[in-house]
Amino acid sequence: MSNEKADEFLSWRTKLTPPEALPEQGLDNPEAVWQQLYARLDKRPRRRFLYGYRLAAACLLLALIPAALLFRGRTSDPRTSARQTSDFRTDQTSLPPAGSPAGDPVAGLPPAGGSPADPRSAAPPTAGVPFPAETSLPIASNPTGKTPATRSIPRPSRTLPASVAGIPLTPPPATSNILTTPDLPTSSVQPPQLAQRPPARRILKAVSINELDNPTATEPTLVLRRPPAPFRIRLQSEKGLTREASADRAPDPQFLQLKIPLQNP
Amino acid sequence: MGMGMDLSEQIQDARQGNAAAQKYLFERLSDPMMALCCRYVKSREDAEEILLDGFYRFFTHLASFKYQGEAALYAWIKRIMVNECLMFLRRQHSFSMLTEEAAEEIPHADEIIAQLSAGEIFALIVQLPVGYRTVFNLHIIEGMEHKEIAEALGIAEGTSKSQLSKAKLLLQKMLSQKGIQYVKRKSR
Repeated sequence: MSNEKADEFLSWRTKLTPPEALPEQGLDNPEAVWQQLYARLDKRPRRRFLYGYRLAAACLLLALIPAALLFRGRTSDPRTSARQTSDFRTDQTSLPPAGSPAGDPVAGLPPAGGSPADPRSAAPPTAGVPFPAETSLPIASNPTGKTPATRSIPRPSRTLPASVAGIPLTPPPATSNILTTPDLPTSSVQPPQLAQRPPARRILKAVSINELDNPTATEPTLVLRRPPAPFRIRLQSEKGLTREASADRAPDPQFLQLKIPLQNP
Repeated sequence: MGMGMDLSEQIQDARQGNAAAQKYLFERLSDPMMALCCRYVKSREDAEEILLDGFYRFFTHLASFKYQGEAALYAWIKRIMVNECLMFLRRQHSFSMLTEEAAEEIPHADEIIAQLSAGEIFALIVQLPVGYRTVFNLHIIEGMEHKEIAEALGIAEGTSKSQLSKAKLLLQKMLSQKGIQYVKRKSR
């Protein structure tokens, strides 16, 4: 309320303020104005509905994006999954270690009870061999012939036994890649067979000929023929060199069979 | 009491989007609010537009209104309508050229002022220029202080005072003429 010299006009407030003061100044057509107002008010819930729809869609997207990121590294193709699984097994069992002769996975294995000088057999048989936690495997599943995508398959870090049935295992190097032919169509890609491991050959122990009569030797032995070593003999004051001397070919092992060339030097 | 209860129930229903309750409130409040808008805006078409905007704001914000009687409801909707009128006038740049010059003093015609009816007062107010009329309405009829008026219109406080004094001067001039006519009419 103002304290200025406007008091003479303050009586106007009481005359103009009551709702029924100016009935002649009302709306000419209140029904038409109400229809306009109702039309504006009627639009409001639809806007809210659309707004809620957009909000729900945004929430759904927010929920789906982390799920998509979570499952992005996985695949639903059973062939690829089986192949990856078999590759994993191949890595453990049939892959030759680096530096071993190709083609024979067992050739590089040391003989049973290997020599102490062999660094692979020097490790204690119970010591674990750490397996690489992650191996990069290229997947040839693109029939269009494009460069196959390389996926990184996470694997659980675990420890494998150092030897299986007396055969020491050597893990493949962490960076070993199994390259597949990218030109092959997907339908012709067969899951790789497990390496046909030939029956384990028993490496026979090399023994000297003098050990043949040893009754304590239980294992079968392989008699190796020594290379013939010439030695000097004297026969009735005639000097000469034997070419061969072997006992196994002699009819009587008590006698040494000698082969003397006709032209002795 | 019965009318108050009825109004309270209608407000409650209108909050929930009941069209019948909204129409009841509109019919009850539209005429005085239209008269209020016409005090600020000369054109009736503009006043109707302002009224529509004001009622739309009224119904959309009705949920935040706490009913404490019919007077409170009138005060609330009057405030909404006045704000709508000021926004409309600000969009028309009606207050950009107002100056701070003081008005000259003239003798008051108090006896004539007291005898005027609401319709005659209304007719005098709407003849004022927009700046005078707005400040006069806000200060004399709505009871706002000059500081509030200055903030509402975006003008200086001194400008609001000078506009009010000029409005009074002009009204007194008009009342003096009206008084002469009134005396002449009474002496016949």
